Amino acid sequence: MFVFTSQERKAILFLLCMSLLGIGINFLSKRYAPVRAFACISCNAGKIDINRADKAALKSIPGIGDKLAQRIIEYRLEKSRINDLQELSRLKGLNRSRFERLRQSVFVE
Amino acid sequence: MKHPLVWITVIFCSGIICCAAFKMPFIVGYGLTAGLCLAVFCMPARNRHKDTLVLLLVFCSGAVSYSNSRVLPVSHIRWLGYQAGYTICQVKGYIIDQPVFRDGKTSFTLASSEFCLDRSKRNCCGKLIVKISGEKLLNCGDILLLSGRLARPFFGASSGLSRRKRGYADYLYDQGVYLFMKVDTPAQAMVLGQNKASLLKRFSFRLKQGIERVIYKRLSPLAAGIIDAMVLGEKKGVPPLIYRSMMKSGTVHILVVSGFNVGIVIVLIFSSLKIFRINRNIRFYLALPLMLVYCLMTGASNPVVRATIMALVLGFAYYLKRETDIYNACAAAALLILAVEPRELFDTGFQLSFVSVIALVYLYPVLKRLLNIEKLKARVTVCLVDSFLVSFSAWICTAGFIAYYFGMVSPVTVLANLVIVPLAGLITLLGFSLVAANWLSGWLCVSLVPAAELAVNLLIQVNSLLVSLPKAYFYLR
Repeated sequence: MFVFTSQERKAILFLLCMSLLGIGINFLSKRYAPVRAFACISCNAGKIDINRADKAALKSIPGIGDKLAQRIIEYRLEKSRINDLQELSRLKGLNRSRFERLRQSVFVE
Repeated sequence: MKHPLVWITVIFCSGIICCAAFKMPFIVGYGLTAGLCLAVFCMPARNRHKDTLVLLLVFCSGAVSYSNSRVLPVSHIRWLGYQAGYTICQVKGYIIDQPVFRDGKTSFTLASSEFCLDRSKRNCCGKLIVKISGEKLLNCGDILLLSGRLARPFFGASSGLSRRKRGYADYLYDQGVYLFMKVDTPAQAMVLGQNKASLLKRFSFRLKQGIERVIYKRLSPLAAGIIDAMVLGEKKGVPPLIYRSMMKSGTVHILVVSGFNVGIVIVLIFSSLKIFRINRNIRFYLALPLMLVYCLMTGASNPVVRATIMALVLGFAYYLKRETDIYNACAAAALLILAVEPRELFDTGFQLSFVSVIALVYLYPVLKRLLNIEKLKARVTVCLVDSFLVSFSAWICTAGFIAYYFGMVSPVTVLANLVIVPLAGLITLLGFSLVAANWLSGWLCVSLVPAAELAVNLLIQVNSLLVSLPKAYFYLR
């Protein structure tokens, strides 16, 4: 009664294996936070944490030079922590286009 | 195998039902499935038992996916809500559906991201239904910070198969909603940002609001409420008495957007594109996003998702010039919905939607063959008998479910659907035409408005007449 063609069987097995793998990862990530961090790509992946970044890291962002990186670090030291990226828009030398580029490359935890 | 997807879906569903009945732990099921998977790979390709083992694997996958859907993350708002009790707490998140103002309350579903109790903040996840006393203008995708009390809508809800009668609480549970949040004043709901939802979703809800505005502006409140329900599935304007009357006659399905409405929309899209002599391929590409927009606009309920997936599968088959198979399309729709959320199998809307489609694609042709209606000479008689058989097939297959869930049997349904479904089709078309006419030019609506009002009035009168017939419906308890 149940006879699959070779292609059908391969397709079903492939889909089943993938869904089984997905279910396993989903289950583990619900139970264990480290698995979630490992398995799920965060929206902050590839970005720099503005509260932890050193001068060299800040300088690697397009549009941010030596002086601006220094100003950001000084501002951070003064306020002890940056809570919102919008706070930086008031910094001298950080015009609108530079701020937009900065926003795309950094995040606030 | 003639309909491979049908068998796979049936076996997948059996796995879900077994898991719900026997409450299999996830780890046991997963281990068993992984072992079976290995066994299938190790088996020689020509072994005659290989296909049986593949189907067993499908069965286990159904069970495992259901089991996994019952497991909640440790940071789920449900656990945090239980800690909070009935004290005031703060929840941050964004709106994932269209907020509705009804009975003096603004309600919507919130996807939570942060929970704060006694100044201690925690990241969280999970959905909750928010009810704000008073009216607050909000949109899908708005990021909110809410202060209010969390409450459980129920205690010890059952899921899947249970001896206890399923209620609204079980429905919410299967939708992944475990908590309500009661916010006392609109001021306690602070908007922090916007545009969190996807662009397509936001566009769909904006379009929905636009259509609703036109309908309510042009028509009387009653006609507008009914047309709004038929076109967009929004029942807030339908008077409860009329809704109950249509439930009694078994025609309430026309007030909830279903495959019937999606069918009308698809026909409308294709015919209007054809009028402009648009190429077949371009027509197909344009219809795809429009179908998705309509699906989102109407809240993506199970019947709409089912009909949209079926239309997409059949559309792709037509586009690729492959043989179309309604059974495989229906099975693909069921499999996709269940793969995403296996608990939907126990949803009344899901069951009624698929059962009625099965009745129409399987039982109706069988009855037609048995009665041999092609031999009838008068065309009108053929048409009448044909319509009767469609209505009868759908009724006979859904009657058991309706009796179980709603405790009601409506023999008048067969007759009612014969009259009301064509009328509902006409009203839906008039609704869409009214919106299109209003966007083109206001004066075009002048002739459409009385026609729509008359059709709605006729629908209500016919329905109340049918319900008043002796033995039209009866309750089982």
